[in-house]
Amino acid sequence: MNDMILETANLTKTYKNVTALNDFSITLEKNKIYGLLGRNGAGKTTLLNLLTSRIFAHSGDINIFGENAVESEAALSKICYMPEKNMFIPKMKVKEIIATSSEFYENFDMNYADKLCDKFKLSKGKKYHELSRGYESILRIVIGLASHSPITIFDEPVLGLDAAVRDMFYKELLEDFIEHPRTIIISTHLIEESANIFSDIIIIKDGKLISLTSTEELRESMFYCSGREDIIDRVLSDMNVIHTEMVGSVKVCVVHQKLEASELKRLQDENLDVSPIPIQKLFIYFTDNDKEATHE
Amino acid sequence: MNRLSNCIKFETKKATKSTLIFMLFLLVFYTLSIVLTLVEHSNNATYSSMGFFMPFSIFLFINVSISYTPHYNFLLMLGNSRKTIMFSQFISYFIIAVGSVIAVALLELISQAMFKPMHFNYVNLLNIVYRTNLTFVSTVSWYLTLFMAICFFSLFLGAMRYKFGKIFSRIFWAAFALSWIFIPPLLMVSGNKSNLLNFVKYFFGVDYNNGIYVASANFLIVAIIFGIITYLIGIKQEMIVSEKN
Amino acid sequence: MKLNFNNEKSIYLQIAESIEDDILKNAIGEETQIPSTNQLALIFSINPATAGKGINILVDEGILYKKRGIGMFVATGAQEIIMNKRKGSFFEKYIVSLMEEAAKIGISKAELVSMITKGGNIHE
Repeated sequence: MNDMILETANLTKTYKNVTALNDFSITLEKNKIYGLLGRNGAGKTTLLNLLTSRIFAHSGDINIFGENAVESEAALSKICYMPEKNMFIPKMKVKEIIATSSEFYENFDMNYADKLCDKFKLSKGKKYHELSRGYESILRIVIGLASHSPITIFDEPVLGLDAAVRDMFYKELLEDFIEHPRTIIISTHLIEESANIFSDIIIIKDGKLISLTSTEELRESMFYCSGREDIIDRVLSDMNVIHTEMVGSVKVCVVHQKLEASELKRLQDENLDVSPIPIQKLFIYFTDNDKEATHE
Repeated sequence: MNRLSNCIKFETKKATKSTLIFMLFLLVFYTLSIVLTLVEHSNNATYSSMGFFMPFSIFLFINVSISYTPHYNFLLMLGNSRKTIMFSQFISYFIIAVGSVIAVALLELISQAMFKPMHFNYVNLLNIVYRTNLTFVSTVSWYLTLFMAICFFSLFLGAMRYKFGKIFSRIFWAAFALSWIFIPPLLMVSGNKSNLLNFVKYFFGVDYNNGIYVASANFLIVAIIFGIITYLIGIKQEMIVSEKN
Repeated sequence: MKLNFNNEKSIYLQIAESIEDDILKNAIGEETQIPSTNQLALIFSINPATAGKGINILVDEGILYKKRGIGMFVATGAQEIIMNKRKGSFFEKYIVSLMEEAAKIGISKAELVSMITKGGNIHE
């Protein structure tokens, strides 16, 4: 596909006797904002570190822009990956960090970086170790956005930021994405508030890819159905129910299936209540161990 | 190529800055100590650049190894291949070694210029050890290869520390401290019986013809060996980021 | 245009409905331009692809059309299209649920009819 910019095939990474990433194959397209979701330890950061050659895979391939990307500076120079953990030098001043970083990203826009520093009130004269946790995140945001790299990756970009600043970040990201379309990957635990900016969502569970769809498709992939227990058991018997709960005498089911209009009518005719699932809860059901739920 | 030169620029700038600051401190103390001895002993004083050279070498030794982890991670984050990072380290620290030679040379010249008119005894370290006429070439080769050996061995220690963590540093320094218990007795065996003493003499070219070049060659070999080992360790090193970097 | 989304429906559907409401209310007249996909994305803080999806629904239904090089415009007759569309689902959406709720709380059909007449009088 012409829109494809990043592809992994059968990527596997093991640490001692733990398989962090298992036979992982994914294809990412250009000019999309991907949300990368997964429980703690699911393998999100492992995947990102593998894509950028910070660690090495046990087996499998990584292709970026059609070429092998492992330890390839041609590929690495097109990626800006701002990690969750600190890799900056504590004694360096913010101004110097930004200036040095700009030399390694060919599309870096210094004017934009300065504008962002003003907007997010990041003082450039401070040394990195003097920054609070929130401002450490802001520095990563500034560099990540101003890099304008064809593939930009943020791992937990809003750690330590208050709601207003997080909001500012999402708006700024969208605005810059519209002006300079590129592929952005954001790994985050704050699903509900960031879901709207993603065009597509990647879900990882136990080192495996269990979902890669557009945000809308994901939202529509499950629904709540509730009603009297005997009715529900009869009506939903042929549907993929992945979770049930009793609320008093009402049974609530989570159905992993796309709901067509005709199906909806049928359920409502049976006096069953149907409602959508908030995306964060949807993610939890998806990655739960109750029942294997996979979605292509 | 652009990336390599940017990495070299970064490493060299950082190393130069900390080295210059240390040198300044050192110069102050060095000058102070000379002035004090001057006041105390007047004509019987003998000076050498040892007071400068030793602390400076120790500083280099420590500074290069503790810079390894932060520089490696920073440059890795900015999308550089390990090959580029390793090469930039070798080139940068070679530049630092050259800079150090210049610093020591300048100090020697200035010291000699200062003390000759005062009729004080100024001795050159190397004159004592090697008892030959020192030339510019021989002095430079000795200092340059020695600083290279210090830098590249220090890089090796940094790479090992990165790979194995704090435990490596602890074991290394414990072994270093313990060696002071065992080595001096081994060196002091009389006659030609001490193999260790003979090796040390050979390594530093003491009692050899052109000893200063023998030493230089040995220093260079040390630099090359540890440079290669460091490269081999670094080229396959997976990123390790601790919570407190 | 309302600026917040609820969890009841897909966001692109809510955008489409919001634009339809504005057209019905005459807040956006026929043959006037509506904000572009990118502008909508920024207004609502959503991905442009999502905003585009909502717009495309309206384009497919003939409510909006694209003027090349300029942007999206409300089609002539858009109001009528929307009204017809909504009339079609009016019965299911409002009448059926009205009857169900009335039955639930014991309102007879006659009472319902008189309520509707009363409501109609207020509106006039």
